Amino acid sequence: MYLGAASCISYQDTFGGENPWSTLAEVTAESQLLQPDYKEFVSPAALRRMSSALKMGVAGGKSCLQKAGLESCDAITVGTGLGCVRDTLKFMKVMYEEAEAGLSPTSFIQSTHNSIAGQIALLLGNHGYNMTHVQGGLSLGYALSDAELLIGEGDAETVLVGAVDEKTEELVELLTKLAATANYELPTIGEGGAFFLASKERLPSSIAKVVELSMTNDPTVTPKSVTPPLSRGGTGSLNQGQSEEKLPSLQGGVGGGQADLVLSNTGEGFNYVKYSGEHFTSIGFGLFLALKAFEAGKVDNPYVSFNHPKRILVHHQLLGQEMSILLETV
Amino acid sequence: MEIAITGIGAISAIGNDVQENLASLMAKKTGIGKAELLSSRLTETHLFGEVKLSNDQLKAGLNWKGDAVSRTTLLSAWAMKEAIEQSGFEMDNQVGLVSSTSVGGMDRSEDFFEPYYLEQDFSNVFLLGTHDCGTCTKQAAAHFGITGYATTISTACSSAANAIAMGSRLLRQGKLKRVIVGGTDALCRFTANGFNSLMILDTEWCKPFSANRAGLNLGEAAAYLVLESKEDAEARGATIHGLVTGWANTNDAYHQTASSPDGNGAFMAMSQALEKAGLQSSDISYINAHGTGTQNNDQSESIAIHRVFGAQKPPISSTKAYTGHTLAAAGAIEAVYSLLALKEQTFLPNLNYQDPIEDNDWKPQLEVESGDINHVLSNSFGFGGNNSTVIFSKA
Repeated sequence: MYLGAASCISYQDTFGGENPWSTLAEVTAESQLLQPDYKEFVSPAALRRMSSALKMGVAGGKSCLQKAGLESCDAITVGTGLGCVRDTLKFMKVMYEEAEAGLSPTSFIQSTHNSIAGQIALLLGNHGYNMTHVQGGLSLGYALSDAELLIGEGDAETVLVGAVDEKTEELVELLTKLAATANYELPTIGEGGAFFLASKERLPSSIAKVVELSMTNDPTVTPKSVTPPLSRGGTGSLNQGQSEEKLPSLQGGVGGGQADLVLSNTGEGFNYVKYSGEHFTSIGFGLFLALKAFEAGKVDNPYVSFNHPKRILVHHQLLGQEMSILLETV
Repeated sequence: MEIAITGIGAISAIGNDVQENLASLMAKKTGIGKAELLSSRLTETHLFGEVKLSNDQLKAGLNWKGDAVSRTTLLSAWAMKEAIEQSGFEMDNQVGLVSSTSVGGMDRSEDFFEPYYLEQDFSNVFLLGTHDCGTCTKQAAAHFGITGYATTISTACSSAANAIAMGSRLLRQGKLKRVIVGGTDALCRFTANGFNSLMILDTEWCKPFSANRAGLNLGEAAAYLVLESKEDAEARGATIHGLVTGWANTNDAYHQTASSPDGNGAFMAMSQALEKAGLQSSDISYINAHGTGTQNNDQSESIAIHRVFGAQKPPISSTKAYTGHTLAAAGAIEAVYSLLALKEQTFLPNLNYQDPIEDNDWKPQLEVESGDINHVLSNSFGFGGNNSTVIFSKA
C-alpha cells in the first residue's frame, strides 16, 4: 500500500504544504493550533455548528484529496481515540444541569464518533465504504489496516485515511485529575488532524510504501516491526536539544530491512510528540513528518539532520498500547 | 475462502444466552418494558429493552475483578464467553477481536459526571479510565487473553455489521486464523436523552413497518460470532452455524442523522452485499431488516428493499420490537437471530405491526413460521449515513 498525499493540521506549519521540519517549535500547554481558513472547505453556516474535530476532519480530508489531485476516493477510514469529545461533554453538561429535559440534539448528533468520517462523505457526496476505528493509541493503525484490507480485497484502490483528536480545556483538566489517581505523569496534551491518501497503485502523489504496520494492545508484546528492539548507532545524528546520543536505527528488522530514521515518542529516536502534543492519534503527525522527510529528501533542523532517508520507522507508545509503521520511500 | 461461524453468544433484553433469546423469539415475547436498572428520568416516561442482569451479577458470572469496568464491557465479555466456549478453540496470538460500540464506557462515566457537574465533585474521576470505546475492547480482550489484533469500530447503529465484515476480510487475507466479531452497547442516560432530544423515541412499544409507528425503543445487548475459515472449522470438527457470504458498507451521504428518501445508501449496501456473495436478490430467503420503528428509517428502508427486490420480496421482519434498538450491538444480535432463522429454518416475526405503510406492497412476517431458508440478508443502518448489509448462508 502506498501513502501520500498527506495533509496535517497541527501546532506546526504543516497545512500550507511547506516542509515543517525546519521550523518545528515545541508545544506547551498554551500552544494554539495553526488552523487553516476553514471557510475554504465548509460553508460558514455549517462551520458555526462544527467542533474542532469536525473542522479538522473536513478540512484535512478535503485538502488531502486536493493535494492528491483527486475529486473523491473509493473509501474513507478514520481513527480517533476520543472522537468528538467536545460535543460529548457539552451534551453531558446540559443533560445534568437541565435535569434531563429540554435538550437540543445538535451536540448529541455531532458527538457520535463516526460524525467525522460521515461529514467528509457528506461534503464530498462520497457513497463509498466509511469506517471509524476507536482504539486508543492504535486508532490510526487500525484505520490504516482497514484501508490495507479493503485494497487487498479489491474493494478499493484509493482510501482516504485520517487521524483526528481534539482537545478542550475541560478535557485537559479531567485527564490531569485522572492521571493523578493513577500516579501517571501526564504529558503535554495536544490535538490535531492528519489525513493520508492510501492507494493500491503508485500514484503521482505517492510518497512512500508501507512495509510493515504493527499494533499491540498488550504491553507485554512488542510489535513485529520493532523486533529486535531499537538499537543504537545509526547513520544520522541528533543535534542538541533532543539528545546527545546517536540516532537509533533498526538493525536487521522486518524483512532484513533497516530504518535509517526513527520517529518515536519513547525517547528512542526523534521525539515528534514534542511538536504535536500527546494525544491518541499523535502518530498521525509523526507519519506526516516522515512523509515530508521523504519528499524533501532530507531532514534538517536544529535537532536532527539526515540526508536521503530510505526507510523511516514511526512509532508510538501510549498507555500500554504500541504501534509502529515502517515506511519506504518510492 | 468460505467464512464459517463456529460460535455465537448473545445477551439482550430477551435472554442471557442464545437459547433464551431463541425461546423468546419463538414465543413472541418482548423484552421491552419499564427499566429497573437504568438510572434516568426517562424511565418514568419511556420503555427500554434492558438486560435483566445487574452489573454485579454480570461480574459474578464472569469472575470479573475490579470496579473500573463499564456495563458495556461486562455485556461484551458475557456474550464473548458464550461464543468462545461454544466454538471450543484454543486461544493463541492468531485470534483477533473486532468489537464495536457507540458509547463505550459512558454508563460508568455518568457515575462521575453527575456529581462532577452538579457539585464539582471529582471523587469518581477514576471511572473516566473506562470511558473510551477502545478501553472496553482492550479490557474484554485482556479478559480472554487476546493479545493480537483488537480494534473497535464505532459507526453508530451499523457498527457490529461492519465488525463482521472486517473480520471476514481479515480471514480472507490471511491476517488472522480466527476472529471474534460483534458489538456491545449498554443503556445509559446519554443515549436515552440523545435519542429523546431527536424526538424519535416511542413512549409505547415500537411498531416497526407499521403505518402508525411512532419511533424506536432503546435497548442494550451484546453479541459475538467466532469466525474462521470453513476449511479450518471442518478440520477441527467444529459446529458450523452458517457462513458469512456477503457484506457491504456504503454511505448515504444525505444527512448526518436522517436517511435519504430514496434509500440510496441502503440500496447500494444490499446490492453490493449480494454481488459480494454472488447471489441474486431472488436467492435471499429472509430479510432481517433494520426496521427501527422511526418514520424515517422504515420508509427509507422499505423503498430501498423495493428497489432491490421488486415485487418478489422474501419474508421480511424487524426484531427490534423484541430487544429495542441496541445501537452498536444491533448488527451482531440480529446476526445471531439470522443464524437462528437459518438453523431452525424459521421466519422470525415482526411484533406490534398494525397497518401497512401506504406505498408498501408487502407486510412484514407476523408469525413464527417454518420455511426453506438458505440465505438471510441483515441490514444495519447508522448515523453519519452509514449503511451496512451482511448476508448469512447455510453451511
